[in-house]
Amino acid sequence: MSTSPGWLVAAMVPLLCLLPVLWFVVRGEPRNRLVAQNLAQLLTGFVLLLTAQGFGRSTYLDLALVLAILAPAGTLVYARFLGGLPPAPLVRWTAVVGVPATVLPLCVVSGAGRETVKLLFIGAVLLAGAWVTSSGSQPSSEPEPDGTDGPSGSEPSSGERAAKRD
Amino acid sequence: MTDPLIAVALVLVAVTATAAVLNREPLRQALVLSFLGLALTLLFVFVQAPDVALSQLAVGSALTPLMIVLTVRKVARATPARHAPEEDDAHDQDGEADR
Amino acid sequence: MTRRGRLLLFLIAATVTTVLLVGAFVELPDFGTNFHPYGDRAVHAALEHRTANAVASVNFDQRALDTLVEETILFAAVLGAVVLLRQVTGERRRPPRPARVSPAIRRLGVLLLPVALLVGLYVVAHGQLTPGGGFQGGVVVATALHLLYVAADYRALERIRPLGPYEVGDVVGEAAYVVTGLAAMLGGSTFLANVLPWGTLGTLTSGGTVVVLNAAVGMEVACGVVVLLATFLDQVVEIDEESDGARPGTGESR
Repeated sequence: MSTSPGWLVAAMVPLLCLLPVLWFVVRGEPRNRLVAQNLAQLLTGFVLLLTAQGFGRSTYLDLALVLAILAPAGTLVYARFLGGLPPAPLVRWTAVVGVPATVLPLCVVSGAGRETVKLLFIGAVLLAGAWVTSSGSQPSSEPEPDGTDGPSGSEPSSGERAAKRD
Repeated sequence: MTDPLIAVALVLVAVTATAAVLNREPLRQALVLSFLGLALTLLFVFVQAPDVALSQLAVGSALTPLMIVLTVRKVARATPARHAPEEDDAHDQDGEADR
Repeated sequence: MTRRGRLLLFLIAATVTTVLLVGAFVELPDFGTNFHPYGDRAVHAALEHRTANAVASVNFDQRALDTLVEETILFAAVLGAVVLLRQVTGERRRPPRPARVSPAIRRLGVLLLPVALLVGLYVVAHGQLTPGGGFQGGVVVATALHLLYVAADYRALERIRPLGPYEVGDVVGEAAYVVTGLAAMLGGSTFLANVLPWGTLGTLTSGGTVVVLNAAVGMEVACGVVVLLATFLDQVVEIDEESDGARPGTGESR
């Protein structure tokens, strides 16, 4: 297996960024925890893209593809049960800067071909997912936040009250 | 260059797993568990086990969180109704969920 | 058991486990060397059967029986969840409410759903070539369908998810695996032997039965996960306990 150390060094950057993000997932404010989880998915996507090139295994790109597809689903699951998505400029700017900074050099190296199409597609899905999930949304500002999945009867249960206060 | 990557991933996994154990509040644990899934995915990729990494990614990114939050929601809803005398406990859980 | 007793039991168990683990690790080959006796043989056997992804060859060819057992474990787990989380006496079902979701998230869900389905099927179909296979792809397909729940609401999910067909799919996927194995026996070989033509290394049809078994597992996992999540979602979104305290012994049944 021929590794190219340059790409692996580059992968080290988003990987090390995960350390402070972990701190926010574990100790952060409730709103920040969800943002941190979203950011962690994005950074993991960058590491996966860079290591695929670093290890010289283009098939490893499938991992980044699956992550890009499933990451918004994971974030939306939490958003539904934690009472909405907080706006997250940090995630947005990381995506806007990070996705082109990661994908474009990889495209240049891999040249014209199927791999480049795949890279651009993964980048587009990552960017779209991060853009939408970072724009912030509902339901905490709405009168009945738990209309999202229907609470029991008129009196909100404990979990729902908790979600509302979050 | 692979070794430093593996080292960082190992540290991430160890710290995250410990944090998940030390956390007492289920919803927060679920978020830490999501992060642990990502860290494990990276570790598996670095030690050249992409199939395992893909399994972890597929299960850990949306499926496990959804099952955990659904269970937490159901239990939170059922607890105060079923054990009326333990109302205080339920309130405590509420408080934790808020933090 | 008292606190002391538990601690004592833990310490004994921890000591024994530690000794065994340390003993085993001392005998292990060093980390990161090129000495891979099992790996070399597995890769050799995989290439002999024209399966580019050696892991898929191990899972669905060399040790296909293990995977059958694993598939059955998931099948049994789903079955158990369905039985335990069914609607019991004293619980009523109410229609799920519509959810308010921002238009941007709705659009993302609509765009992502077909893409995710396609990626899931791609992962299943390329199991013999690239990382992935029936399990991973099946989970992606099932998650894709649940984008309808997280990006819209439960009613949208229920429209495309009549549970009957998915339950049938779960069973068919499980059965297809066994039938493939039995077919090999009927052909005069052993159970789950790779009897189909192996094809050309690196093409979509290479690997013989690996392709068929991947498809069977993919179907079983996708349908099984959908059924599993449906039982969970029903409990939270639709099933409700009667509020008037008349719940004859239902608390214990779940």
